[in-house]
Amino acid sequence: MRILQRLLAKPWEHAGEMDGIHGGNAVGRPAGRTGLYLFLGVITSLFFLFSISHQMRAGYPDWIAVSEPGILWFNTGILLLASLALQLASKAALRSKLGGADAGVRNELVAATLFSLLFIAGQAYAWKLMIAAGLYAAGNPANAYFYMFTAIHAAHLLGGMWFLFKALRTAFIDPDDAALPGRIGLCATYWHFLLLVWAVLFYLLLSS
Amino acid sequence: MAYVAIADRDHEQHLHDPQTFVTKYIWSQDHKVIAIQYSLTAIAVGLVALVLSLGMRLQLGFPDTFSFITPSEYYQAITMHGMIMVIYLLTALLLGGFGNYLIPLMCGARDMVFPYMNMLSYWVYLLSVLVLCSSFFISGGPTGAGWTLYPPQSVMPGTPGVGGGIVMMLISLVLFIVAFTMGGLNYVTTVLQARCRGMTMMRMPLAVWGIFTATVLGLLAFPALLVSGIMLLLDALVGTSFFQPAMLSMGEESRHAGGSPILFQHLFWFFGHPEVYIVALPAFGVISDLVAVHARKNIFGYRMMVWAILSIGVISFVVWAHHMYVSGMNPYFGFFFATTTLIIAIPTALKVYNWVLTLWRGNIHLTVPMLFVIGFIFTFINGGITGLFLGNVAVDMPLSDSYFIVGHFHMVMGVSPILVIFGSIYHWYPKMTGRMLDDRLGRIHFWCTLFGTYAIYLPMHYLGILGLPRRYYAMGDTSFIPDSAQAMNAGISIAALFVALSQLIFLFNLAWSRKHGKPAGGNPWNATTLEWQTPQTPPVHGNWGPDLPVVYRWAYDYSVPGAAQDFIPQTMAPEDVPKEAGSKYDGREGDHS
Repeated sequence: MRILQRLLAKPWEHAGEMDGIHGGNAVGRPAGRTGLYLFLGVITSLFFLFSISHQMRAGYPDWIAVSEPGILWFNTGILLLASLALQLASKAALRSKLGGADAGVRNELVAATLFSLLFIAGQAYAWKLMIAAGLYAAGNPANAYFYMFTAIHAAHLLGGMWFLFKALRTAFIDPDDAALPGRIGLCATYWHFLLLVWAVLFYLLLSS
Repeated sequence: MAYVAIADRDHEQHLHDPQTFVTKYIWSQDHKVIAIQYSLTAIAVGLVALVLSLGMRLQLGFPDTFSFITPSEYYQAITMHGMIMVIYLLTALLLGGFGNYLIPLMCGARDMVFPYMNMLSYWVYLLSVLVLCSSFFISGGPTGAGWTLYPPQSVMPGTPGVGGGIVMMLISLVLFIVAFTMGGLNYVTTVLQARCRGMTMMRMPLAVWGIFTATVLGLLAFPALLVSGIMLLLDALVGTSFFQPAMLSMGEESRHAGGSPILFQHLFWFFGHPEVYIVALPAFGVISDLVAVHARKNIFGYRMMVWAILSIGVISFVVWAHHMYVSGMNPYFGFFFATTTLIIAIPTALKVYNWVLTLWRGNIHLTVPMLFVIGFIFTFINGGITGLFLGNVAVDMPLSDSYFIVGHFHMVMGVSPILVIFGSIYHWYPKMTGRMLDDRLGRIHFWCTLFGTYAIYLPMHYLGILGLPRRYYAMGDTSFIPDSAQAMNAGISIAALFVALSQLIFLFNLAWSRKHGKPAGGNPWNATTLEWQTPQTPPVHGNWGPDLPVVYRWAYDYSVPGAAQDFIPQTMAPEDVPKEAGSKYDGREGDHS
């Protein structure tokens, strides 16, 4: 409703008035978080379109359903743990007020990093299993979607790892940095989102 | 709590402090420098595309005359010309160039909210341009698949550039999208979060609204191009069959089977149609500001203009398949997309009416920017009306593969935004450099460009109705095409050469005026918006000196009855407004009727 109210405003009236609610921010959150939410919108559009194309392509007669490696279940659990660890780190960092990256926060960040790396290694192993089974990308579109989905998702996770490494480095080198809780919070949001994306992709892979 | 603008909050933004030539002008994080980098790169690559179009026109106007233009090179020129103009020139210049320059200045911010990412955006864009252009120098040359890159032909043997050319094109597009995303996140977040005090959303100039909405469209639509590009790349390199059907090619079975070329078309146009508005909306916004400044009148129907921009943005996502009527779609789908296409004409037409009504009884100053504004309005009406024809399935079918289409989209997507870009450069060059562009050269440039482009594109509509097919290297002896069509083609080519040469006037003016132009002062057009209120011209790093501006009014207080001047800057408090003797105007609400 606030958006509607703003769009109905008559700006040629009331010159000189400050609106009382506006202070340079259209939304009440740090710029980094707004930027992240926008980026999540972009990724949503990307994976939505991939998913639509998957559903359309799966309707063609040459589609042969593939039996995905069981390790994907294990990988999903690992990604869930990474997401949980980041959530705990974020909560702990906020609890310890500004810049209080105590040992607990550091441990949870390390755990999140290791779980994330393990997830990517697990996905690579799933590729190896697929190749060993003779299920090549060129063999069938179902195989191709498996490789493409896992690769694009992993690429996004690796991009996030850059920021996670930076947060981890700050937690060890400059634990009093007041911006640290915010950064960990952004990482946690991003990881939760990628977990959700992976859940959808995994469902699509399993269901066709 | 005392108000502290977001750009001045320590934990929100650390403005870098460039000390050396390299950090100031090359690895710069200053939005103004990045804007100029974007603009110069886009113009440079645009000139390449212009030269390519001349090659095509020489072949079409004078077939069998120039041996250096072979059929393969003709198709490569078409492809590269189209892609460069749409993506690497128009999108990059309107969003990367104007977006970068105008958003922080017009919103009263010191810089973009993520300056480092903004810098990366430009360098990745430059890389994408270099990758694209380097395909001219590889074995086989650039792709000649047509700018839409439709499979299966784009990755099949026999198509020019099928080896490295198509791969480099796709890699370049992926890089461009990465660059655009980094820039786009900046533009939107800056508009949402870094406006100065008093700058409510509805006090923003329409240029910012246009760029803002177009960026949101881009952020949501470019992923479709990315998806189709990645999948096509895999079809070309790995042998997958996302889009490639089973085929016999040159007597041999292709390695693909079962793919859907129509799927590619849907993905491509899901990006492709919003792309039209990614280019058009910034142009609409900029024109709205230019028309108000140079007609000395508040924009007619500001709120309607904002709503129109937003509704065009939304509707642009449900019209894409009108580019695919000839692909054999279900007639009900055709009906649906024809309907949405006609619906999007409503807010678009509303904008045109409002520009014209802003001119109505305005104090029109026929400055060079205003000439380009009027040229744009005429051209956009021409291109828009032929778009209404083509939005209807029954009319589109016979015209789809003819020169009518070429004439239409060059009017609406080529000439119109280019006129806006020229008008904008004449308008904002004084702020960028501190000097005016030469007025006489500007007028010569305008008339040559306007008449020249009409001499090119109006006859194309006629040729299209005659049935002249587009994409052909040479017409040969075709019984239904009269000889006069060839004469007209020759005339078009001469006009194209004339228009291309007249751009040298513009380039000369840009370079000459940089040193010898008349000093502009801070606000040569007596404009109200914030970018003209900076303490220095050109604005220095950080834009505003020690204090950010405070905005007291909307962006269109021109010719307010009772005010002594015909403009009131956005930063002027009501009590500071000079009034006419005996006027009861209190500096707050003017009679805008």
